[in-house]
Amino acid sequence: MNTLLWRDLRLALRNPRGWVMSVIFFVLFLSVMAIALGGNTTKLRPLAPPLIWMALLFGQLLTFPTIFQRDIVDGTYEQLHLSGISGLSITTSKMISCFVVSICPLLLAIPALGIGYGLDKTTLAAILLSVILGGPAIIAYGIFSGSIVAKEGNAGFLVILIALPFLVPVLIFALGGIASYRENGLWNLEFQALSGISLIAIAAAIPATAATLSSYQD
Amino acid sequence: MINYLANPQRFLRFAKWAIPTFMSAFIVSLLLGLWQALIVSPEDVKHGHAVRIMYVHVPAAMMSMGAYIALFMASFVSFVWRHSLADYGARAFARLGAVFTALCLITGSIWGKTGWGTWWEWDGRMTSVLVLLFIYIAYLFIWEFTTNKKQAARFAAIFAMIGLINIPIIKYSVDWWNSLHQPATRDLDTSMGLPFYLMLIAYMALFAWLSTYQVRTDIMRARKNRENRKKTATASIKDI
Repeated sequence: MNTLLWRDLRLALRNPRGWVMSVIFFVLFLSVMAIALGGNTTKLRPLAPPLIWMALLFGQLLTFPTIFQRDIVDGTYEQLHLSGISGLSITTSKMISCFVVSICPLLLAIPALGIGYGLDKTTLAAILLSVILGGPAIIAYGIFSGSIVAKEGNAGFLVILIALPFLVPVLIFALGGIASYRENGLWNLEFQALSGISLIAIAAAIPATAATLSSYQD
Repeated sequence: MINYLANPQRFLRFAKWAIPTFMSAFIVSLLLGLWQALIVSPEDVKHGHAVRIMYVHVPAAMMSMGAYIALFMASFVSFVWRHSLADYGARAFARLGAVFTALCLITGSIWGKTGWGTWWEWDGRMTSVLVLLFIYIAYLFIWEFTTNKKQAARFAAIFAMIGLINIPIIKYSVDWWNSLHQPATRDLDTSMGLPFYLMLIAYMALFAWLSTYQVRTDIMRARKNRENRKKTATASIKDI
């Protein structure tokens, strides 16, 4: 499990196509949005949380198809499967490495964009918290949808279809939590619900992803 | 019952009388229900004649959820026993479920125009039904996109089961987000209850009829493909 996790992390970091793409998409999307909305900070400020979340979701959706593609196509997964490593630990290590590699860079990018959108410290903190609490759910459904399309060549559309309906509650509670952070602080109702959804998503997605992966061996 | 129908041969025998039975049940209950709903039943105090949309709308909403439960059960059977009939069933349920969900949205939007004065409102229930429609569409697209059909069956079944966990979460999150829809009223007067239940029976019979029909078609198609394959295999070296 430990070795697997380090392998996944190292591979992901050395192959920056996935995570750099999502960061660049994130920055690009938000900059273009700011331009499209007229570049007026007073107008942009209330729109920043939903825009940042949209950029986050779509940037992540871009990376999902590639999560398992390599391992399945070059036979690594088959070798791991044959050597008796359970699908659950493969999935779990993939999930941790994805979280580290694709959510953490965004945590650095958000404050930088916050300057562009004229956000104050409280809102910025709320947005960062919402990303940390909701991130596991995004990654969980991401690896699940990624495992379904791992063998299909261009399945970006399918990933969007599979993952987005499940991410609706995450989006709702994340934005609700950001809105009520100022009054109710860190542990407000919405953030509690968001953490709950993340836990459920992890619990549901790990066995489901392990099951989809094992069907490649049939 | 499920065990009995799991055999394709027996299923075809069952379908031979089940399809006409369901069809006639549908036609009879639809005609009776429409007559009751459109002519006999009284106007509502609040909605006026527009209440008659309820007889089409509410059964569709109930069936959109019911179809998902049927889809879940078929997916579970397919996941555990890898039975191809369960896959045919699940696909048929998903198609019909998507249609019922779309019907529910369309009739709801017409009712919304008369009731609230707007075609669409981002209200909790409407949004959750819309997301349900997206889930049905995603389910059907998994079948379309995955080239290996045995794998597609696994993926689709797993997706349907994950979807069942998510539907209540989506529903409560969206309800919390925004709610304007009137709470469902359970105590219908008999003059309104009778046409309502007749329409519900009509919808269920339609669901049963079309899904049995679809499964029978799928069995026959699979058999036909198998026969075609057999024919090509008969060529032997002696023929040349």
